Amino acid sequence: MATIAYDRYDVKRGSSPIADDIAEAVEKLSRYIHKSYAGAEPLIRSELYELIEECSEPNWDGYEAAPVSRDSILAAKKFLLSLPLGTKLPSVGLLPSGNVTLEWQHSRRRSLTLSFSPESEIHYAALLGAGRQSGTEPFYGDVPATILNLLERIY
Amino acid sequence: MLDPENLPEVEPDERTARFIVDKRHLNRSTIPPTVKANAYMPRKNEEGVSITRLVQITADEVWAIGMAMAANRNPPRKLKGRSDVLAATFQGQGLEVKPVAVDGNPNHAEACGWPSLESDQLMIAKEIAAVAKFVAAPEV
Repeated sequence: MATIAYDRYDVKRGSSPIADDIAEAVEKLSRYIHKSYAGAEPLIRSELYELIEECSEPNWDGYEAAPVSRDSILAAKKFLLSLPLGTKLPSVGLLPSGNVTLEWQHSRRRSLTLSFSPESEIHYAALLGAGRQSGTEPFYGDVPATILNLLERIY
Repeated sequence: MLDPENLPEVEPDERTARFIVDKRHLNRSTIPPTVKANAYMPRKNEEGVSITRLVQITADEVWAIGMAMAANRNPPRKLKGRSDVLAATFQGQGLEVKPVAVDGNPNHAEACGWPSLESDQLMIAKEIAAVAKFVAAPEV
C-alpha cells in the first residue's frame, strides 16, 4: 500500500524540543483530520492512487492518451490535503495530457473542474448557471482564493 | 456506413458519438451517469477530438466500432458506452468538425480548432459535456 506524505507539515521542524513537539502534534492532528469521514485521505488512497495502477501506460482511454503524470498526482494530493475541513470532496479524473483533474458537480450547469499541471499550476473551468469562468492559478501548497470562491459559488 | 471515397460535409444537426472507455470520464454519482468534460478534451490542442458520425450507420455498427476501440485500449477494457451530442454543439463552441475516415470507421470525424490554453479547452469541453447524453453500451 502506498504511504501518504504530509508535505505541508513535515518540512517545518523547529529548532528546539518544544518546536519539534508542536510540529509533531500538528502532523498527528492533520493525519487524524484527513483520516476522518470528512477528510481527503480515503479519496487519495482509493481514486488518486488508482490512477497509478490503471493509467501509467499510454492509451488508457483508447484515444492515445499520455500516461498519468506523477507530479500532477502529487500536486492534486497536496491540494486535497490543503482544502478547508468540511469541503465537499470532488471526483477524481484524468486528462489525455496525463494531468489529474478534480471535479465538483452540483448540477450539469453548475460545476468546477481543476487540472493540475506538473508545472505547479492549476487550470480551472467553472460553469455557473448561465455564466462561466476559467483561468490558471499558481499552486504552491495553499488553495488559491479564486478556487475557494468558485467552490462556494458551485454549491 | 458512409462511403469513404465520397464523404459528405458534417451538418450541424448530425448526431455524433464519443466512445467512453474509462470510468473516470463519467460522473457515476448521478443517475443516469453524466459525461465529464474530461471525455471531450484533446490530447494536444493541435489535434482533434475523435468522434463518430451517427449518419448512415446502424446501432450494431456503432457499437462494433466502439468495442473494437475499447479492445485496443492499453490494457484492453470493456466499453462503458458513448456520449452523444449534435455537431452543432462543437460548432457553437468555435470548433470545426471535419470528416476524417479511418480504417474500420468511415464515419470517423474530428472536432478541431482547440485553443492552446488548457483552461480554455476545459471550458469548451465542459460546455459540450453539459449537453451530452450518455448511452450505456449493450451487454454482450
